[in-house]
Amino acid sequence: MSAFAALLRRDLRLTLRNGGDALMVVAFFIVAGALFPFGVGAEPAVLARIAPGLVWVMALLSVLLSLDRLFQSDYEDGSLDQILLSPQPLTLAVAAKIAAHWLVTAVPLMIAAPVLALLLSLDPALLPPLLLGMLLGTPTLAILGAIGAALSLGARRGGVLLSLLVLPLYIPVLVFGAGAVAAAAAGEPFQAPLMALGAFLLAALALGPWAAAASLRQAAQ
Amino acid sequence: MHRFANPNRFLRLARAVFPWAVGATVALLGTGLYYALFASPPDYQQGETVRIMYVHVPSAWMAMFVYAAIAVASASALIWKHPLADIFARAASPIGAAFTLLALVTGSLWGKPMWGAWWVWDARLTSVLILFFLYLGHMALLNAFDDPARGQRAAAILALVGVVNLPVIKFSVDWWNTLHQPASVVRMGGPSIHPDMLTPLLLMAAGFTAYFVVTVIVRIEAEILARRVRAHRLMQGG
Amino acid sequence: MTPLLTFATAMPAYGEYVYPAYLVAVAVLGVLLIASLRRRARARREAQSLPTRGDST
Repeated sequence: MSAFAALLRRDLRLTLRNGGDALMVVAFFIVAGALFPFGVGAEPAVLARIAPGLVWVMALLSVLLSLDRLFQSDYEDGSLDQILLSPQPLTLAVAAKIAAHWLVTAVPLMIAAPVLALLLSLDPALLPPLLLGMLLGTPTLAILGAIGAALSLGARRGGVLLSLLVLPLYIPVLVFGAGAVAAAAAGEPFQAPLMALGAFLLAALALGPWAAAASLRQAAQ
Repeated sequence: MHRFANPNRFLRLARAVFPWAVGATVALLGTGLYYALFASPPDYQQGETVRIMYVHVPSAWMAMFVYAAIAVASASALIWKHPLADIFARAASPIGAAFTLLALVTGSLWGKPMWGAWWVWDARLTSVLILFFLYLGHMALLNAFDDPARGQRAAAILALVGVVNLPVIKFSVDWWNTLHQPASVVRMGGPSIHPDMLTPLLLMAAGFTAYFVVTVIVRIEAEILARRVRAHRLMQGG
Repeated sequence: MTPLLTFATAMPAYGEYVYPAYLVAVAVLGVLLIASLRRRARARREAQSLPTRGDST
């Protein structure tokens, strides 16, 4: 467990030291999201109608955009080999890296989400289902993304490949995340989609780090 | 199973099976098409459009069956380092993608007159679309690395991760209340479909399976020979 | 061409969606089969041009 904490602390410190990276993802989230009023027209009724889906899609793309640095720098400077050689279980190390990645990308996104929601004239009463959904959904995104990042490590045109691998797997999270907000907007109970997101998270937690560790091991072979 | 790990033994076996598989494909697809287009009645609800089912349903079955076969091959490639399993996964992936595309396109052609829309975002259609994307990702990953072995291992892991999608496709019509109709052939209590329609359906499904066997044998042989040439050139060059 | 046309006109009319579905199926599966056969033909040609039989894959 101390190895988990040590790796988590190292990754957090590395990211915070060149803190621009995390902010860049948040900036992308807001700037790209703010393009939509120009595209579909600034009518508040139209924007409010599509805002839940837009915030979710932007969150998903922002997580995707940040995935390439999850293993890439460790792969390049050789730390990954150190982690692979260490006696600690690799699954645990991968879990620590995913947790650190989630803390420095998804948490800032959740803080920025109300701002983007405001820009897209989302009803403030819908913020709780949106943020609860993101709290349950973004860890799943990070875990699935870690599998994709490990699989495409060292590939030609890795970024494009990564999105081709990961985006289809993100669809269920998007469906239920946006579904929770849509249900709340229609005045219906939104527990069911949130529970589905929770179920995805549990399944991803159980299987994801294991699959990502297996992919990392074969990437280093 | 390891008896057939030797590519030469496999090639001998495949060349013996091949003419029979070609014959079976021609015969089954021929009679299947005859039944599908001439010797089966129109549906009392769907009219003649029901004939699209005889291509659509077998394609969808094959899309899932080929993916399951790739997943099993990927598992044995990762666990036992079975050399032919890798070659099979590489050979079968485009065929599975073709069947998935066919299921989507024919479903769309059926949906237009029946539902009034080329595409609806229902659970069955969406999960099959995800299956198509998984096939595309699998093929892209196979060819994304300078070292082909690295691509094979990565693609094998992806194939195993994507298996989650298969039960979702199968049960999507039961779990969600969707436009797509529920299973009518493989279900508890026997098929709910009339024998006159079951005949062309099963013939076409058998024909598609035979087509898969033919094409996969052709692709596997091409891959084995290409590897032999590559290994030879490496020895020459190195 | 003419026998093909008479055959096509002799086919029963099933509306505008049935035949396209079958044509798409023939096109997709046909293209895939032809591409696979061409691959095999090329691989066989190249394998035959090897001076000695390399027996590893």
